Amino acid sequence: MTERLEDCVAIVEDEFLIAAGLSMQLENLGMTVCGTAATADEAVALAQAARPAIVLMDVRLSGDKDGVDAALAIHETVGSKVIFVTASREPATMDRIRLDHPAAVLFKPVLDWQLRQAISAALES
Amino acid sequence: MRDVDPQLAVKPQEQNLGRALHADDRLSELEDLNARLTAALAEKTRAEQAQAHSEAHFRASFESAAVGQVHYDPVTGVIIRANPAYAAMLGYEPEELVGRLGSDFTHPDDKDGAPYRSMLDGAEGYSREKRYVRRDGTPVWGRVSASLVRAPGSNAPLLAVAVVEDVDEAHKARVALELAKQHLEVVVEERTAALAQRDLLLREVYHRVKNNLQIVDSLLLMQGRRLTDSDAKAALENLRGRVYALGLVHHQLMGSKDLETFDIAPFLDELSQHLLEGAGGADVSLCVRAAPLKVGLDFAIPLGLLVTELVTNSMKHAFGGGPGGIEVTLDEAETGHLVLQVADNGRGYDPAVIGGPSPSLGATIIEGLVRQLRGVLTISSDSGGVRSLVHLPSPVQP
Repeated sequence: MTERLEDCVAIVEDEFLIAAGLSMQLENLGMTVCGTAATADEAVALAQAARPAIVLMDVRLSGDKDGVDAALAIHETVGSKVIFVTASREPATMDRIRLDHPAAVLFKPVLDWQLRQAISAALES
Repeated sequence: MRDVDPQLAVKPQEQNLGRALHADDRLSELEDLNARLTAALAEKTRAEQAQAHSEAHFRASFESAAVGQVHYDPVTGVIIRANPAYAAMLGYEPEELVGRLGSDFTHPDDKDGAPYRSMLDGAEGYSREKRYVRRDGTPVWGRVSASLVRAPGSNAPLLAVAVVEDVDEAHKARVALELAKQHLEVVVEERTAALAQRDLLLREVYHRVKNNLQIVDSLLLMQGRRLTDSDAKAALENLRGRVYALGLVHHQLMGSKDLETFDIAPFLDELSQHLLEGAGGADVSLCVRAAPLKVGLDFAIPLGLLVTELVTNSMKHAFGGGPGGIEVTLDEAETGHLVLQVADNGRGYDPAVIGGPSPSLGATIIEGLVRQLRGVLTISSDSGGVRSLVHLPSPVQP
């Protein structure tokens, strides 16, 4: 974790359109997207390969592991800051997200300024 | 009761001596004797009458008692006498029961000789509820209290006495009550499960709604990228703001306890905050003040969209990039009526002519939403800013 992280953002989202939209939002904010992943395993592999400073993480993913599983593994092996992006605020999901001590939790639909604030806060901490 | 006191009997030697005595003495003695004899006879009669009276009394109370009473031979268990109440409970005449075994009338499933045996062994009388069997074979619940009459000296059991109360109605009522209670518990359990299921489904729906709004947002964003016309781009950006207002309503619903209603105040606060942030770094302050009010989807969506339009107008047209302030308030004017006010302290503009000679999309939306909310809109614009007042009826509580 002492190794330097790249100044880019990885997007973990199984909905293509949402991933594409988030990608554009990030580019509009002047950030680089280093890749998108649709499953927890892909997410971990992407993070380990690209070493992004920030990961935008959906909670519900295709496959049997969810975003929290992926986030815990990424924390452990890469050390990226994880910002959860979820459509749900139900207690079960929130409890699950808190397991990972996320840098931020954003609720869909996510606005540009919310994304900008969350990322700069995560990078500063 | 013994016969006449032997002291009162006339003794033979006294008869022999009689002649030697004075006639007066003899007469007096006889009178005295007679008086004592009469008194003794009266006493005997009284005692016999008292016993007869006591027996009649017992018989009357035994026969006419409202609760069943039955006497058994304590050893054989054979019925010696039964009163009409006991017989009637079982559908017999009392004399039909005499000579039968008491246990013949106990329901086979409720036979239990243990309490009686321990009473024979010296325990106190006992009391229990059990089913009896009527003549027609139907069961009847009775509460029996049993005791033993023992001989004064030998303590040998002389008589088994049972008092039997017909508790069939009470028992049936209790059973019915228990059944009703069990039934209710099942119903409550089912309802609880149905409610939990409904909550789960609603959360799932809200989740999907929000996910879909994010997709809509992405589509708008992707389309916007392909446009070169700045007006068109701005129009799509405005659409994104409106989509966000919809998402925020579902976000509030998801966080509410009943998944149907939420407080409008934090919603308006969050919504307005977003509109300010979305405008991007302008030096505009925002003040939101709303009375606590529980609202549902039907009210929150048009109101949220209305506030979005009004605040967006002020952000865009009131300050010309300079500093300023916007105030959003929602108050209960009188019972059943609300007043929504969005006011800015900008340079003033005419909302009707925003976007040129034909009404803008924003103006059309504002007009339509006010109508949907059955409200009345008043706009005043001067050098002190623009003030939009909407008088509207309070939402019907869902």
